Amino acid sequence: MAYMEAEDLTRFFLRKKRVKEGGFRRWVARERETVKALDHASFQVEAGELVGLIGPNGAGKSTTVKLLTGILTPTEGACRVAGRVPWAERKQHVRELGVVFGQRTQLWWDVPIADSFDLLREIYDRPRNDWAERLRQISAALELEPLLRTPLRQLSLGQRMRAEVCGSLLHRPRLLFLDEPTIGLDAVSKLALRSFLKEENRREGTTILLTTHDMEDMLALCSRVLVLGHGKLLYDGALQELLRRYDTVHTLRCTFAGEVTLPPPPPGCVLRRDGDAVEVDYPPAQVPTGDMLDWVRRAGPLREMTLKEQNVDQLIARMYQELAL
Amino acid sequence: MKTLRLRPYLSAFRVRALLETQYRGAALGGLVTQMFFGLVYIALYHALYASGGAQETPLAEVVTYVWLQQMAFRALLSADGELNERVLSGGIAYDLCRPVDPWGWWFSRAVAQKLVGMLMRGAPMVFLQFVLPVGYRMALPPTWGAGAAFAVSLMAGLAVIAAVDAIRSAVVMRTLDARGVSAMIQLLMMIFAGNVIPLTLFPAQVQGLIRFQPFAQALDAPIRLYLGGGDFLLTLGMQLGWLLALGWLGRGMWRRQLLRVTIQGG
Amino acid sequence: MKTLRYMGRAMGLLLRSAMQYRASFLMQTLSQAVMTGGELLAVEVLLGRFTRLGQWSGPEVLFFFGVMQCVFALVEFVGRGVSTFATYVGSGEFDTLLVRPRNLLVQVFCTRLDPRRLGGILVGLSALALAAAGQPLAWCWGKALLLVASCLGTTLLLVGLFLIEATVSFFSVKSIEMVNVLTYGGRTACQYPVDIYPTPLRLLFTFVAPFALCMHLPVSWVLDKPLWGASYWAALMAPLAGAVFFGIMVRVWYWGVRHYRSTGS
Repeated sequence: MAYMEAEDLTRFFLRKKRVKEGGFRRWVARERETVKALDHASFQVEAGELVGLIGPNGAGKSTTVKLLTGILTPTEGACRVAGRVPWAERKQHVRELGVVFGQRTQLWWDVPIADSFDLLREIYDRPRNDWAERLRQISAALELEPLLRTPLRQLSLGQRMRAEVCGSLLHRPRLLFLDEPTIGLDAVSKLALRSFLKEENRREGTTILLTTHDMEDMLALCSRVLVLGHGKLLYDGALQELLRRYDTVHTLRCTFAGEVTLPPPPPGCVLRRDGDAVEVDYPPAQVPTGDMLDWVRRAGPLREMTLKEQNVDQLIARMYQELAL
Repeated sequence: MKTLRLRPYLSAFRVRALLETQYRGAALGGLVTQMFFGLVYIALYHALYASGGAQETPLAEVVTYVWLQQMAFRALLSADGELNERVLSGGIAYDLCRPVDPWGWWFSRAVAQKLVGMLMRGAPMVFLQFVLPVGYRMALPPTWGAGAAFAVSLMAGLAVIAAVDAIRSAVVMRTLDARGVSAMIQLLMMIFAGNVIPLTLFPAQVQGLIRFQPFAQALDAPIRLYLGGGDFLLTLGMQLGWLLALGWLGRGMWRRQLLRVTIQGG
Repeated sequence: MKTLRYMGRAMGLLLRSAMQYRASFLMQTLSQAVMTGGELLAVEVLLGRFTRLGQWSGPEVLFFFGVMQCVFALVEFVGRGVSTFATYVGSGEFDTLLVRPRNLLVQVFCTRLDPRRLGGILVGLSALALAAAGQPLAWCWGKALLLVASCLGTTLLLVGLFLIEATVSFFSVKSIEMVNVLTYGGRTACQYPVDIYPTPLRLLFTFVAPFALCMHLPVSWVLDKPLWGASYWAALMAPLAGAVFFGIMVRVWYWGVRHYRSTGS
């Protein structure tokens, strides 16, 4: 049995709508519609995996996380983590769980973060020595030591997120959920957080599930991704494989010495002029790059040439488009 | 030479009045709550009056007093529940950047909330009087004149509460705290405007003082006119006097507040 | 034991947070005093004018008032987390409690465990002292036990009543003001003995929100004027109604947690 299992995991919400038309009815009547936040999703995650959850806004990422943490109960289907049903065996389940919600804090706003951590120790009822050891280790890795006596509300966004991550890991969880952990962070904080999470996963064997819109996070951290759209699980597999599948356009950009007349490009290509330069989009699957080079040579004396792949964000946008999300 | 532009204040009034009409669920909840409190208080006074001893205030007047207070209760609540959030989140900076007199701005909003909120809760309560048992219903004013005097004085009363509210907002701005200040002014108002017990029931020795204090101008003064007591011109004069005094104080506080913000910002 | 230690820690953290805003801290403490003091003033004004309320003398009425003040101070101390729960659900902060390995309701209590609220007990106790000084009362351990049972039962009843609104907040974002009828309305109405009210209110406060059983029955026994001629044991057992009410509401609240929708999708 896998560490984490979801079988036909489903959660519906009823949303009430105000009726727009009609005199008196407008004041009292409500229409209801069912929103399928998560629709029969099945997947398995092994202990120690680092899995990314991606999809456009409203795809069901947060719902999935909330079902697996036991915050929500499923409408249909089931999930188990380490053999436990999250919402039914909530206390035992969350004892081994760390959660970071990117948008909201689990620490106390007006007191130094060290005091917050103290109360967390009380809540998780952990031995004092182990807690101190862990705090020393994590705060060193995240460079939190000088901030421990500062109230949370005085910290910058990046510092706050590091404090949140620290707070979610002090009790040595076996499983860590991160909801948009790098949202709003500067480049340095982002890199630091990524390498810390990677190290944590390697050394402690912590299973990590993260949702993000930042594809650089995905590339850096996750070997495996789950793609959600309209509540359905659309893809489950390696991130590289996913990228290859949607990597359908490369762009060749060249400048020539002097005026040239361009021969017609191979079929399937799109030609553009950008000042002195010429840009050609071509599908690498149909047109080998070698053919493109031949075409360039036939055009005239080449001064400079660059070859671009699309960046990950463009690929993902294309994927969402193709899946009609 | 600046000319007084009324337009922004009218629009502040209109926006807040419209917002108030959106709170229908809250109005319904308030209606139920106020009806219940009214019934409980009146039942209590029935029991007190049945326990013997002659009283100079007739029970029927107390009943009417209690209902009028309950109908106007929304006016006693602060105009801006969200002020605290706006102050703490810094959103208040937008309010201060508008090219209007901030005191006038808050004052207009407060008047709108009090007037509309009171009508939304009070009007249904007038109709509900018909289903109440005899002895629990409020009475009509004894004369047309008393009714008219009440209506005029009630408007002045709302303005007085709005002026208190504008002061409250200024204090909130100054101390960055809404819960403490609001709660305290709220309580002072409920007690000394006559919501908790009718001011007419306070001991005869303190009546002069109790009728003079500012909170009494809000609801107690108009209600006494409704009951046919009190001199209209004298009452109105006192209300307007307090309105001027509170307005002057509030305006000064807002001025100083603005100065402080500008200095901090610079 | 562990729970008590946790509550102590949470209380300390809340106090330290509050101390961050000095002016606010002072104002909040002051407004507490104004509130309870204002209510005492109101009762004194009424008693000054009327001297009697039904079969009860002034000091006896003051005694009921004192007990209610103590109880409400206790409720405000332990139950603020419950009475402000709707805002907690609205902001999505309830999620945070759900991912911690502690009893959920204890965690809800711990979100707003403010010892300053206990200040109201001082007003309540002084009302009780005034009341006791104004009448010849024979004291015994049995009566003290009755008072303690009464305070605990009524506190549980009120927290249970606040749990109604807390449960409703799982299903509707609009907080239901009407529930105030039973909590704040119950407090205001039942600081006076129930037998002064007309039958509908008496039924309401005996069978729906049983303040009469939790508070008026045992306290009337302490004043040697037992309502309905109840025996000592009946008066001692009656506050259990509050515990039962609380127990039922806790079950209902947990049922609501199952239907919690969280915020967003």
